[in-house]
Amino acid sequence: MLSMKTYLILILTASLTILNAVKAQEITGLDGFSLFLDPGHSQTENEGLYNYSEAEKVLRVGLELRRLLLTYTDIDTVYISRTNDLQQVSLSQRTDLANFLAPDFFHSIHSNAGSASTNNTLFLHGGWRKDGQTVEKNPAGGKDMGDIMEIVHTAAMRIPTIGNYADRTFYQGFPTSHTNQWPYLHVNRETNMASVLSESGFHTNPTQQQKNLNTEWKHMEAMSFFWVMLEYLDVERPTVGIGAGLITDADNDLPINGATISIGDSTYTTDTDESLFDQYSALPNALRNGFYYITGLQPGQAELIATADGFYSDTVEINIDSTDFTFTDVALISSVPPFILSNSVGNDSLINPGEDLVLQFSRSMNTQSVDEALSFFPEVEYSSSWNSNGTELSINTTSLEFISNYTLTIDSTASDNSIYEHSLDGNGNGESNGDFVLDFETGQEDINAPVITSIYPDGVRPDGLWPIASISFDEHLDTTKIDNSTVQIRIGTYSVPGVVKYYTVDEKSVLNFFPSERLEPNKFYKLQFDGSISDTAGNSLGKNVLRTFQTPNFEYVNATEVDDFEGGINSWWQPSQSGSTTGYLAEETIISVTDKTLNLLTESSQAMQLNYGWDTTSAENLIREYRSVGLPRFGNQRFVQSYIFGDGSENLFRFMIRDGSNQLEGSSWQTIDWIGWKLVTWDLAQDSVIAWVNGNGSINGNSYVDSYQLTYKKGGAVTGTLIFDDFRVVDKGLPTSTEEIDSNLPVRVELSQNYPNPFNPTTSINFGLPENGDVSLKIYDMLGREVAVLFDGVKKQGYHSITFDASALASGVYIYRLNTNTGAITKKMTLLK
Amino acid sequence: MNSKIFTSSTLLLLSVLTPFLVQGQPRVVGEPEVLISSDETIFMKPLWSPDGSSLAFTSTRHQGIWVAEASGDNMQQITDKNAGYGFSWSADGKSLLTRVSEYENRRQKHAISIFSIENKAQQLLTEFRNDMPATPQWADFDRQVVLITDESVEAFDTGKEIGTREKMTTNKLFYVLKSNKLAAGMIPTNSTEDISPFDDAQYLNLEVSPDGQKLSFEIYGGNLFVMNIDGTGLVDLGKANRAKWSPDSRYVIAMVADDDGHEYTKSDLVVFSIDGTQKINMTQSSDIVAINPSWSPTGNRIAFDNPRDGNIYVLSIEY
Repeated sequence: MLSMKTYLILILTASLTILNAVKAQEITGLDGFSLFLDPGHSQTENEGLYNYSEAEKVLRVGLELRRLLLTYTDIDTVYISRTNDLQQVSLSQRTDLANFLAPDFFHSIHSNAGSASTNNTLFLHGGWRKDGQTVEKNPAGGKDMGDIMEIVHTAAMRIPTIGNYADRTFYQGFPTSHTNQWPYLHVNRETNMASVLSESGFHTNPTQQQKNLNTEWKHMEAMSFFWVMLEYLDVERPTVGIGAGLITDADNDLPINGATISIGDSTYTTDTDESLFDQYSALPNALRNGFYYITGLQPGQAELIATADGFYSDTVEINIDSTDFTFTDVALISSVPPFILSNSVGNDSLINPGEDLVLQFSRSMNTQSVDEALSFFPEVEYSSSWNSNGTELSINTTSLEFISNYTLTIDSTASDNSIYEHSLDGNGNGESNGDFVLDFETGQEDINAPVITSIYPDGVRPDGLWPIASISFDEHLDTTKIDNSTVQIRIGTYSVPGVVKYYTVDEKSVLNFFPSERLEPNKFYKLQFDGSISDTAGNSLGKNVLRTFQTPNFEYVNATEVDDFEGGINSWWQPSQSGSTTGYLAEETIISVTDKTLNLLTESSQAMQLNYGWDTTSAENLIREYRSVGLPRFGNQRFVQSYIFGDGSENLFRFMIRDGSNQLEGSSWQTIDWIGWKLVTWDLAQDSVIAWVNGNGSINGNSYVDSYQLTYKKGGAVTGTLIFDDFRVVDKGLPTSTEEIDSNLPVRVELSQNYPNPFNPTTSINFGLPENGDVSLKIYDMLGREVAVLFDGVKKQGYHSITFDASALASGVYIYRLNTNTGAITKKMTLLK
Repeated sequence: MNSKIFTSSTLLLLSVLTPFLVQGQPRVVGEPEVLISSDETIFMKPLWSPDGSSLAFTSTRHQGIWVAEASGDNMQQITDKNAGYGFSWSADGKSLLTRVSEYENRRQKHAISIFSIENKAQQLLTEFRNDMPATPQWADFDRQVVLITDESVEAFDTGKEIGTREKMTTNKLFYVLKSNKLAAGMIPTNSTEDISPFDDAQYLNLEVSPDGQKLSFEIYGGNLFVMNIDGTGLVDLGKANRAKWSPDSRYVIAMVADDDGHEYTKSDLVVFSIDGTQKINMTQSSDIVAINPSWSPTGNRIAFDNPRDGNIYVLSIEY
């Protein structure tokens, strides 16, 4: 007869799969229960951001969970499928070992991957649909465990949840009966015990992944799973005292590194480059999580004190919960006085009357105080405007005299927007109360109309049905003469709605027109630029400029996002970090996030800006803008695309991918002869493939993006700036959606259930708008990945119907989301093939 | 002249090698054929009976055991219990030995059970227990069943009769997995001897060759190995899982699978010669994920399953 408790030591080459620990056994009620923990993947598989893998993270969550259970409860046994970063364990061996040992429950621990802007939890137990009902696998228990995880673990993560699903319903939708009446996932299918697989946030989400790097974050995740196990077994939680939260900069919501949090006698210092982040990024202050986690606190009233260098300390009265985490986030206010980061006058100290003089401030300003503190000498009348967060001031200079000297002064009565009202550090010495003084000259009067240097589309069919029309000039324009009618795309008497944006690149300028609705395929459109377009001196074109173009008979579909940059640029290396980058000026070459120049065809709020400079004496010049995430993977028949804001530098650009043979293959070099936004496309099947390093000029499928690459072309600009947005991989397909408009007016934004539902392969989505406005209708899979954009632009008031053709998608449950100015509405639909 | 000598020598050599060539390398004839399928149930882990006349298999989650004739006909469910992991045929092909499990208060209880193929009767050899981190093994010419854990060796009478020849020999060894050991056991002393080739390794999927001279096994987190029953002659066959022996004990067949951490992305069946010098792909299909092979005692068929459709397939083999 065996003893009731079996503490097996399962050792694998320096790995321990079960710990025979000395137990405090404060918590009873787990006697006779055994658990198999399965940290998913192996070694450093499923690389996330910052070269920190899912496998490394979930292993540590699993180890901590096992420690908690063995130390504090009377549980019989906790097995674990991996105990170190060296083991390579196949799926079959995990379930073979679990089935051999016959524990009572199997928990596979994972984190998720996808878009940088997506982050949620998900729980999958074994199950399928039969006769209109969802059936849980036998042995049952995974659903119950998943239900508890959905609440308890999601609350700990403080992110949304997709929910707890029978795995086959998650991947294949909700038909009356599934064809395959068995669990979808291997760990649910082959285990002969109750089981669940958990997905704890996205390791491709920068905010989440920077927390994942923190040791105590993983302890917190483990503690929540610990409570889940207790609830599953109807065991009460023990008394705890755990304070946790985020410390951020009140100015910009960025987490603060090195902040110290004190609760009673306990303190915690948030991660710093030295303590943690140096292992994952060579760039100072590139990573931050602001996370703190303090255990062993006495439940009840307590005082939390948060301090950080460069910030005012803050004290918060908190009530420590005895059975749960006590989350307290603190936004600290910077004690550094505001200063001026940059101005648009530049090194030549020259500005032409009519060009805006732009000042960038280091933090949000009290705009009235700045306006009152600003003066010109000689005195002039001027107008100015601020951006929405009070960090950028644009001064109109049309009233300035030509060929004159001016001094702009902002005295130290200007103050920031914080409750401390710090005075301006105008002279940049780190202290308040210094005036900002800017001397500059104005240029001579211009009497010539602006010269058109390029038009798009002009004599070519545009690349897709969402063309960004463009007209470039040799000089800056008078922005007061530009509105959304300055550039028009027309068919017959109908003018396609859209947005006109004006950009400057050095001395040149460009107008981009972003259509708000898709153009009809294979039609002739007129592109019209208004004759009122004028330079800053008032010289106009004089007459309208017209072009005619024919739209193609295709559109790009099935977009797989590489990076929309909404989550920042942490998955991209600085150019200098790649050993392949050569012949460049280090001080000029850097990537950063910009929220100023964006692709308006999407809901973009951020893009990646690359400033660069070349060492023209070098024999070789290459900037490899490397992406460190080997996802998503894509096949040979697809199109690699990115919107690129060009600088007209005449330097060269190309895409570089790494294929399934791990070989580097690139697109042909393309001259950057445009300014403004342009969609750059590489047809992997038809366009040239250029071998690089170990490549062979042929793409062997299963590829992923390696980098954007630039090189210097003799005669090209020595310095420049490119902006990248909405990097994706797409298919080319026939136009799929058509629209009908109902003239009745809804009183509120409405989104109807799609019909039919389930559907195969087309369905109609109806929505109503009480007024004209910006609208997007997008399709997401259940992992939160955007799979289709049905519309993104301006819609008129009334009812609209859009047909969605999902021929290229797999069966499953999808989410459609209508975004309007008043909010978002989301519904689910089921594609059943 | 020389040519004739050569020809004669060749013929002589061929005649000498003929018996060996007849048992040459196994090769697949034709495409895999579906042997057993069901509209609702996914079957897996087929295992041929000792005489090759029947096939036993389980379904997902190792729920239930079914038996069918080698032709795939006359399928019958022997049990619907949680009994499909680690079952084994008795030498006479009349019984299946397994561990059965039931849930009570979120906890599994386990018992050793024998099922009769003829009448599906269940014979419980133990009471239901809280822990049973091992699978039972036939021993002593099926007259006994042993359950070996780190802490104990237990033997249970099965009530099976044994022949006169077997009665003369009561010291046949059996081989079992312990938590971090391979062990050879002896009846009636119920003793075990450590024959582990590696220290501190976890072993999985132990199989004894039909001639009783070799063992195949996996190292958890590692490769597939074969060795002599005394622990000598270790051969690393590389990355492969769930191996089964050929009836002539010269080969093992195993699944070589890739997975993405959630699912098998591909799997093929590969035959390995036990000296590690030959490696023969038996499937090369992207449509079928071939797993859980079992080599018929007649030598000419290999059964396996495919988790994508839940069918049991067979490959026809020639030598």
